[in-house]
Amino acid sequence: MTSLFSESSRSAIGENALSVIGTQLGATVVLLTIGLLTGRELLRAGNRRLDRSARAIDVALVPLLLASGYVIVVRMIDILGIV
Amino acid sequence: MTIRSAVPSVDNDTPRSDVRLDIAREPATRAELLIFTVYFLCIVAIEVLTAVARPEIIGISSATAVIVLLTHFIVIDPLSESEDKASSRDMASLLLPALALLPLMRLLSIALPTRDIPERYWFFVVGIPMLVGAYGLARLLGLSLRDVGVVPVLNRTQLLIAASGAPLAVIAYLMIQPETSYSSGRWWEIVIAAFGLALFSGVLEELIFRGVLQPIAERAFGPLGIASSTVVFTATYLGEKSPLLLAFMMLVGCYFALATYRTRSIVGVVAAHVIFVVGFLVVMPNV
Repeated sequence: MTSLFSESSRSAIGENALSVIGTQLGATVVLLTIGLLTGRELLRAGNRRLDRSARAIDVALVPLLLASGYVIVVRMIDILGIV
Repeated sequence: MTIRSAVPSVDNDTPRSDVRLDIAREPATRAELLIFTVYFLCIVAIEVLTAVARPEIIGISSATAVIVLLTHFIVIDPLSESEDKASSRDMASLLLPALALLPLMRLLSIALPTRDIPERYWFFVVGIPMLVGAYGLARLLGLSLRDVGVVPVLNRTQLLIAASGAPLAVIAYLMIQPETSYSSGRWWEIVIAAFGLALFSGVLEELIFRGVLQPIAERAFGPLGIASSTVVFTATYLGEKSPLLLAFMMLVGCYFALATYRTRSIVGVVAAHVIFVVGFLVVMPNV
């Protein structure tokens, strides 16, 4: 009912619970994060002129890192059986 | 013609850009128009995939779109400090990181393991990273609050626009009576759901679509830019699989876009969107 979560997104989240699809989506997010981190560092290490534009990567990278942090916390809670 | 104003950085290690929207910039060329039409269509295609394809396909296509858009932005390098690099592609190129937020939003909304937590918290899980991304985007482009339309003036027009959210909510509810969990539970659970919807649907969506995407697209492509940002906004509702709701959201998107364009402020439409979404999904089901 919103841009963030439509009816189809809800269905996808339901399927996400299936381990195979969840793993594939997780791998996509991890690969994207690693790719962006690598690209950012390569650009920063190279031409200083590119440093500014390289910060465009942060627009996607910071949300992905926050999301990764959330996943780690959820997994840790799951493993440690806190909740 | 001044195309860019580079503000001298106090800290040399962290140079900041200052690409204010009120600075004169050349409009986009025909080739740029073609390229960005393709990009807009790709964003719409990802939203179509959300409605029809499997989650892993949506994930891969969203991730690819993020990489392509950001790589294009870096290759063009519009924030370069060398003044002679500035060209007509400047304004349009600022759209690239803004557009990248949309597939990122879709990727996070399906990939984060939100199924195990109640639906009312989903908005926080995906919304907080996206809000940080939107802030990073505004900072990257050097946009001030006024640039994104946050003008702290409450006049009669803004109040009327804000109030229009209530009838929109009633109409939407009468058309589609949604089955959601936002309106049920203990009072504090309903308050949390309303807060999440208000902040991450009302404020965040307007900030991205009307605050950043629309003004840049408008300056790059004129009225076509406003239309394209509205098309993308409507496309994000393709996943609802309801032609009626899609048509309604298209009209709402056009109305919000025009209201923002005429008033040069998103305050009214943010309030209208908040009232609309909370009224539609939380208040009306309880009436």
